[in-house]
Amino acid sequence: MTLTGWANARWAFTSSRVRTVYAYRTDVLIWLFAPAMQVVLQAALWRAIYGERAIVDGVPLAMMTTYVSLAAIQHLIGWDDTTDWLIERVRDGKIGTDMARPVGLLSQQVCGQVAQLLVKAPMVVLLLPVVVFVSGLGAPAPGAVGPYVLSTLLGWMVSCCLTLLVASVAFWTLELSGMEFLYFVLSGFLSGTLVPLWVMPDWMRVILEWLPWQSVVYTPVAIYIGRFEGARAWEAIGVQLLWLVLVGGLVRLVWRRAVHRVVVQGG
Amino acid sequence: MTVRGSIAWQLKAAGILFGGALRGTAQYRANLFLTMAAGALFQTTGFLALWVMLARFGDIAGWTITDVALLYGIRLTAHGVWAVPFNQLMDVEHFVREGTFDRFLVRPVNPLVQLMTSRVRLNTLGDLVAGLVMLGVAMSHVDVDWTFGKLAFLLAALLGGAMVEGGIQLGLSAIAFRTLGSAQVRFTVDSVFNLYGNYPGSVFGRAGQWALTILPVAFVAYLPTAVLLGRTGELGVPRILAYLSPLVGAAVFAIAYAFWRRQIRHYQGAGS
Repeated sequence: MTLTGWANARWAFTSSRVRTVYAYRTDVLIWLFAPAMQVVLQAALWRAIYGERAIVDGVPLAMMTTYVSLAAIQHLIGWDDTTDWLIERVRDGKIGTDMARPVGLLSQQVCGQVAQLLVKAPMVVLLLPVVVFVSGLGAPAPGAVGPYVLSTLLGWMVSCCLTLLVASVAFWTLELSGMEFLYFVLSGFLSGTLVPLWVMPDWMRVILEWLPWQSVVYTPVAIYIGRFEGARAWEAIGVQLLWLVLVGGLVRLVWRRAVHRVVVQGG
Repeated sequence: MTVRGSIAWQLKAAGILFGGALRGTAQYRANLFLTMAAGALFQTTGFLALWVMLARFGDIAGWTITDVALLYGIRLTAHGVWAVPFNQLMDVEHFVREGTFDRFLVRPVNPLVQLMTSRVRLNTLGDLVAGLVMLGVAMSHVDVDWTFGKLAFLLAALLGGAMVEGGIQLGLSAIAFRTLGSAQVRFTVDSVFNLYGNYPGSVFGRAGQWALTILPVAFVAYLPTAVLLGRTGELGVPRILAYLSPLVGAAVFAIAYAFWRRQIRHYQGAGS
């Protein structure tokens, strides 16, 4: 296959998934309501918990509300429905058709994730008025924009790989309905979306620093607010790259094994 | 033998149907514990986050971690008490769309009872267990003298809270008989209860407290917990409302049930 052929096949996939997701746009809009409520709640909790205090651990309240507002958005961007989609395809046997396609099964899922980003990113913009005016998202730290954008992109890629790893469970069992949402909630904690890592007790912070999820949300947002700056920011981006290679490699390995387990009935 | 159609007969029928559904679900034993654990984990993540915050900051709007744990435990237990039997409400639009609600109407047992017992979902049982554990631990740690009167109020508040949440969900699910869909609305309202019901209303200021009282999220846990902790002085709403919260639950549920009965008449079978 030529390079253009390679790209065309993948774009055909991605745009068809975009149309599928876009067909449910009212669902997506209502789906934004809960995160909006969550952001407002988080900001209210931090305001109440700061109370009279102006600065805690070197972090003023305005920086904290910026953190939780942006973190909620980053977490949302990383959310996609690959797990439920795959469980459904394996359950009703359509996975057999998917496997017969010229584009590999794993590549199809990656196209699906890109499609969801293309639909959801503009929709997340609708949340901006809420996070700026109600929950209190402030401006980025000086010089943080470039590293922040790069870090966000890497964070999204790590998140996609982690989702593909979770989704591969569909090849082993179909009895885990609701797992996707549970994973979303758990990763909210592990990624530092609900509570930033510097607030946590040391033992917990160390554990989370050694797990991949902090790459998804904590790193880009810490860069945005200026908690990671200069060399510290680039170091954190290096750690993200490392996780991308590690988790990405693991995904390839697991998926190669997983597809051998597929049994399609009937025909 | 009990008279067919009487309340005792309905209860007996409900028991038989529920037992059957439970036996059906219990066939998948490995899955049972996994889904229960998942339900409990899902519900307690928010508390874990709050625990971390309070470990660093000490209190939120004057509430310590044990105070908040009591509130959280009451909310989660009340949620479990309604969600275990009423979880099937989430399938109502499925039955209405497929036209299979017909079979509930032609049988002698109350259609709501038949809907409730059509299947048992055990992730909600995880919610209930997690709620009871959290409530038990919180009760032994909070600075409250558990007199008979307080225990009686706690029990009434748990049932009242369950009826507030259950009543709202029952009322909203009845919309499905006319519009064929209510899942999105119910999901949205459920997330408001799940998010805002778990924290002291004083966090949200006076206007926020009024909004949550009218919604009526505050009656599920915040107002009764304030009574138990002797914190009614901080309320932004009249104190009497807090003492009446169990009755509010009964009222909400009664209204919702009456509404459900009326809406069911609008059900039109699907197809030819």
